Amino acid sequence: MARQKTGIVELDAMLRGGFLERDAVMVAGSAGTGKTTLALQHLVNGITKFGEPGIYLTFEQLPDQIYRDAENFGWDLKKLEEQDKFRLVCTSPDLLLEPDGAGQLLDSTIKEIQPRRMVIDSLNHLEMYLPHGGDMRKEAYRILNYIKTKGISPLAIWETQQSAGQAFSVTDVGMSFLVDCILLLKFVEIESAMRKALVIMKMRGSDHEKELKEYAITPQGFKIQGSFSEYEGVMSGSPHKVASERFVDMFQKASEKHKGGLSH
Amino acid sequence: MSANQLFQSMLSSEIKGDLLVLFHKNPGLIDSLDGVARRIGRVGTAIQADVQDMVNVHILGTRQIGGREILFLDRSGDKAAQETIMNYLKNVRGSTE
Repeated sequence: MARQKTGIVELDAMLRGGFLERDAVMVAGSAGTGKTTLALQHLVNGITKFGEPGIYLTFEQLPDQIYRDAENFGWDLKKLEEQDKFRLVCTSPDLLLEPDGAGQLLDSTIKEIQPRRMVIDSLNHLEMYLPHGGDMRKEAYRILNYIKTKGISPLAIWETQQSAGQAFSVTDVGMSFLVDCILLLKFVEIESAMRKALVIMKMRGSDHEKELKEYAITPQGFKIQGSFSEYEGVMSGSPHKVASERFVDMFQKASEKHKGGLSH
Repeated sequence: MSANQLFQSMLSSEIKGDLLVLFHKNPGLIDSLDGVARRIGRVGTAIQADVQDMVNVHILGTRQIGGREILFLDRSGDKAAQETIMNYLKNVRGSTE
């Protein structure tokens, strides 16, 4: 089965080679977890490493902010646009929700650069602009299918609320079933510091890594750093060390105390 | 429209300046009149006349979505307008030196 790599080596390993081509992917997480960075890196790597042009569709953030943020990671989006490998499209969600909105907004750009990847940032904005009585799931389904029928793999960003200890839910409107793969990004508090965790919640038709992984946003972009093997309860947002690690900690502290006592 | 008229037209209002900056910094912007206005801190009715001027000289293009007119940067028209203004300014500078 054809795979679409993110170009982030450790993440592609977690995905057993990459996303499945034409799968709809959702990257969900609260504000500041790095969803935009991951999505942009997926597009940039697609162009520079795998020869797959891409479109970034944004509603709220103006393109010039995204150009600037990308430059901080060494990604020259304007140069990629000049090379007709990338387009940053900014519009209002209510236009995309019009019956022929997707076609009118995107067809000419799609013809121009023949993209293989598209990021939608974010589905939350579509929900905000739904007309009264509108069904978010139906609209999201329609738009994702429009993108897929053009031979493009969509990656949709969804901002979740971050509440420690709350039962986990990817979306408030039950859209998990609409997408083929869900990556969840989450803050976790460990020893009074906020660290970040990534988990693959779902991947239709493929095996995937089940373990939570720690990641960081580095000057080079999104980087997976390791696992949280010493901790449990990471999904709660406030994990604690596993019993064996707590025992080791207690033993080490007792040992240091004992040494301190002997030296007096 | 002559080069001089184009130049004077672009300088004639602050709104045109704001619109030029907005679309040059964000060439991928495609939005309704109200959406564009909101992004420069104004309302649609306040920018309508200036937008029409810029459509007339092909700096901005228009399209219909759901009965609403949407605006986008006409990249070739904008480039031509920039070249016209640049050449005009070079001629003006040349004739005054």
